[in-house]
Amino acid sequence: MTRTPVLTLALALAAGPAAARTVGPDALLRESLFGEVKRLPAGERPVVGLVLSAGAVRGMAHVGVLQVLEDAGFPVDVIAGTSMGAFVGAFAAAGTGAARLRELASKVTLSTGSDLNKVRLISMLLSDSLLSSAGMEKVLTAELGDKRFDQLPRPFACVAMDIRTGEKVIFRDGPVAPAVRASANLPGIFKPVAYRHRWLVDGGVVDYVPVDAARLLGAEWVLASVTEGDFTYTNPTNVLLTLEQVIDIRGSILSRQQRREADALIEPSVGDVSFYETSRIPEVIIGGMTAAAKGLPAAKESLALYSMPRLWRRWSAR
Amino acid sequence: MVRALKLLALCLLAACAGRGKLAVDPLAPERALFAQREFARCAAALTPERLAGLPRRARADGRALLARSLDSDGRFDDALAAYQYGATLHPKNLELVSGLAWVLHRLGLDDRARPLFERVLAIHPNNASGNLGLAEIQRSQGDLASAEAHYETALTEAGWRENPTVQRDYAELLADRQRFDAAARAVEKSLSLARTPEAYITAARIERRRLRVGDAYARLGEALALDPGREEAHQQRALWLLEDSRLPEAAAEAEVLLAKAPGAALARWVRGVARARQGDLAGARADLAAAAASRRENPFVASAALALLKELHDAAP
Repeated sequence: MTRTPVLTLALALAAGPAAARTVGPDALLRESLFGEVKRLPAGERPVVGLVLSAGAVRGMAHVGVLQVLEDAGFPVDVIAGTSMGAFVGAFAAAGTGAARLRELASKVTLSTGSDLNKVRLISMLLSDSLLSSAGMEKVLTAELGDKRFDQLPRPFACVAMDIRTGEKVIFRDGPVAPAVRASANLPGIFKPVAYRHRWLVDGGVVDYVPVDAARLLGAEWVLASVTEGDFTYTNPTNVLLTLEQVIDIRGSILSRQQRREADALIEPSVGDVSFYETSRIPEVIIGGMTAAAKGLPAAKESLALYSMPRLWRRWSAR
Repeated sequence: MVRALKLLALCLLAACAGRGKLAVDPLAPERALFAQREFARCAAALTPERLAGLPRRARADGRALLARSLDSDGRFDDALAAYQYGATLHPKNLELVSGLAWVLHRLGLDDRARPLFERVLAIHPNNASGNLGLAEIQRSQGDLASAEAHYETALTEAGWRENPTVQRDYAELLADRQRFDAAARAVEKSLSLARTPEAYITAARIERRRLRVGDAYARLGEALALDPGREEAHQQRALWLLEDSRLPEAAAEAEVLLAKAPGAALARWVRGVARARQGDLAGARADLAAAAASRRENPFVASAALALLKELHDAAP
């Protein structure tokens, strides 16, 4: 035997995963009750809503969150999203699996779904004209087809803002693609979308964590994935960074209030990722997965506790 | 031609002799101490002067041996420092970088361990230790697909393939990926290497998830045959009996736990629910109130007991 395998073996014995893991009473009961909740017949189990927040590139963390929820068999009955949360949520509601979503996310660049690129950004600043997000509809249609909300396997809603009135507009019917485009239509960068007699921009400025939209869809218990920006991290030095900073601050203020309306939270640590850092998407997705894996036990516990009256009704009827 | 061949043979002989000279291990005395589990003595022998006096090629090995000795001796802080220093001096040494990553992983510092395992794999993509470490981290971070791929690479090395704990962990991962048949095969492999209660419990959970209820109880029984006092196995059986509406048996299983620890919160929960479902609401309330009092030790069991107590409050006395 050569020296290297001896050392490798010694290292394995010294540092390998030798410790036996035991599962404690809390974890055992959590898994047991969560299993019982999942087995409740349709109509008895609480309607579970998944809310995906705004956050531009940070919102790609929702893909990681969806992956963990899918692996854990976590029930999701309705989905609501704003901005990037609407974009990811539309795919999830249409039945696109997390693996496919990761594949799609890996191809996203700065100009995916829009005519945004560095040259265009410069011309935008010089000519004082906004860019178009029309490509976003094409991306959605290419993957999902011309789906309407009522054709999606899971109920879905997304939120935009009418820039003329400041109203929050929750879309739950009609074609999916224009609604999602409007929801993710970053103000100050893209032209407002003219749709249904409204002039629409990104819903993140009025409904960053759209728990209310999920409740409108009938969600009784809501899990929210929040990809808030850490606006204390940056020191804006140009027009775009200043705009991003203002949107992030507004989002954070909204999020502080809206997150309280959710029953459980997953908060990926992606606060330092800027709106335009598409090169960090793989890292952002991992951030989503890590946060979801960490937050999943608490989410299961919360759902089990919420379901206790129904579990008891079921048990006492047997 | 003959002269040329003679010259070549001479050169080869000379090369072999040179290689023989290099093959003498300058760390042989310390390695002997490590092999005898004399970790403290091994670490003490590897003084800075001794390490500095080693031939250049052996210095990284010397630092790795020092760090491992400290680690094996239970001096984790010193081991961490030794690994860190060694990995700084020799950033491409697989043992030092991988060893540092494992120590950080064991300390729960996965954010720092992960890039080190990735560095190991950048140097040597098939390095088993690096693959295993990354697999463990990815599993804990919810990236099950990537974890599975890294486990599979790690398990191509005999040392890990024949490690029952790694096989059991791999089985659990496969079960989490809903690949129950493959998980069952992996846990059987683990059991063929070492028949431990942990592996039987894992096997039981996999059988349950495959909806083979009878086999799941049988596997738990085997875990308890090996270790009759194993709380986790009793607790798991009690919960399954409750889920299967085998209420008197669930209560009896809870009694086994309560005989040893009358305040055991989960056992109180099981007996409380079994009593409530059999109509003994007073008995149920007493058990659930006891379970609810364990907020500090078992916060979720306590919360669940409180929530159920609230429901029972409205039920008939």
